[in-house]
Amino acid sequence: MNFWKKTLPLSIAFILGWIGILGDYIPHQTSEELTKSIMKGLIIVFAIVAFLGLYSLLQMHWSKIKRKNVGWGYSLLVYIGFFVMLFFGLYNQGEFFWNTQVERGQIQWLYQYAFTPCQATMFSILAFFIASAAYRTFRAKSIEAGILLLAAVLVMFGVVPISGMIWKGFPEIAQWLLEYPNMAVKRAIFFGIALGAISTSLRIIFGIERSYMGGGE
Amino acid sequence: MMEKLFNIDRRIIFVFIALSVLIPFLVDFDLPIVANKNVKKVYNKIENVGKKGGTILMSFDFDNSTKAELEPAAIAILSHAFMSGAKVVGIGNWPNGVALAKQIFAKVSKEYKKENGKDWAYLGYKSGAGLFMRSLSTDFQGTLPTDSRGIKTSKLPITRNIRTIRDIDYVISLSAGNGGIEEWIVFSQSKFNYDFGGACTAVMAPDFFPFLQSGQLSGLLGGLAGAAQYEKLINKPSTATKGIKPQSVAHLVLIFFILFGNICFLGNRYLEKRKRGQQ
Repeated sequence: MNFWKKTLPLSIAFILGWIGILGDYIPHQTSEELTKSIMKGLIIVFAIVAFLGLYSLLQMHWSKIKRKNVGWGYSLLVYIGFFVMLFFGLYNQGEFFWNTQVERGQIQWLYQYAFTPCQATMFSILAFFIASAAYRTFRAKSIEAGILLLAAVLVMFGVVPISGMIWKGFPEIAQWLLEYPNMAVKRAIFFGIALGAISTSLRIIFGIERSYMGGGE
Repeated sequence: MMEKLFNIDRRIIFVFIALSVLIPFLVDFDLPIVANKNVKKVYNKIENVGKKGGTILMSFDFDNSTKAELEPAAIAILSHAFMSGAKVVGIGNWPNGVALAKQIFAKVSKEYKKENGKDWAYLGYKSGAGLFMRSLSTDFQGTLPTDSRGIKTSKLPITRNIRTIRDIDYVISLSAGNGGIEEWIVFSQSKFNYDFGGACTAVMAPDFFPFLQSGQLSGLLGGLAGAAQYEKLINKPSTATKGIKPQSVAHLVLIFFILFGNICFLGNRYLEKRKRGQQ
């Protein structure tokens, strides 16, 4: 039991982890072919994971509908949307799913006239909430907050062409802020993230970090 | 009074934002659109690839939620590629962006009378993001065996000679988040060292400046403003040029509210201090 639950996953993580690292540094045909095969295998694994995600999503919404939780109607909409799209996708205008997707079929219509406006609307609403949130929370409560506020206003203004109409210096200031202070900070953050990713990867490869195996140990 | 202004009903702000978007669509006015150096770099790369009849790989790494920002950029870049004589191969890392990419290819190729399979090809979506990018970099036809119509890439005139990413002259990612520019750089560009450019949503653009300075990213179109600048460069004003007007006014309104909120805040603080001083 210990072998299946502990030794095997740790060994897989150790071996594949090292293959992944060394594959980048060994310019030999065997190493390159091995890396290529593993990559293709992993792409297939990713595709399988999509089905797990789908199962998890439907399961979660099904339990909400069954228990009649608050907002269970939205969960029902998830089911309706999912099965309507699935049906027309599989039906494929009478050509069925084993043939290439028909151009300008019902699924395309649903995509263009139902899915696209819904998703675009969801994203557009953000503009309203950002405006309201910015008004309420973007306050110069300290010198640091004041500097942040000033930089944000200058960038927000400088990136749109109307600023150039008022004064040609605004776009230049915005570009300078993005190219120097912003870039320096972003680079520092990226270094931090990269070092964190390396240390976490090494912990997984050497079996120190085991939370991905579950079980709470 | 200050307290009232401080707690202004958010529906008033919503109305102002709605009007700031609507009115510029109804009132015609011009804005001075000037391309910045990062946009010019993408333009020059595509121009050079087009002159020698090379191939560009366009990765459609966005979907409908960011259509308003990235579709104009995609259309402008694709139009420029076709105008200058470059061939374009399209792929995608976002499953919901497939139909969108197909529509863009269909529309622009029809406009420039370009043939599917010869001048352009759309190879569709594959899962894996970074792994997919890495895999196609070393084995293009093995990773993408067919186009979206099911025709083998080894048979298509445009892709039959592409074995690795180095057989492509310029790669550009239109990115709205994970599975986009950053993954292309981390998983592929940094190892195979090819010319790589990007277009992204405005909110993401500041993240990519370190890559621009290091040269890993050879140019960038940031948001709708970047797309409008590109339209200006190719002399084809379209959706981005129209859309940048309401965006400019909305930015102004937003800045006004931020400054107004701060004036109220500082005024309130001053009044409170004075009150305490009098006591």
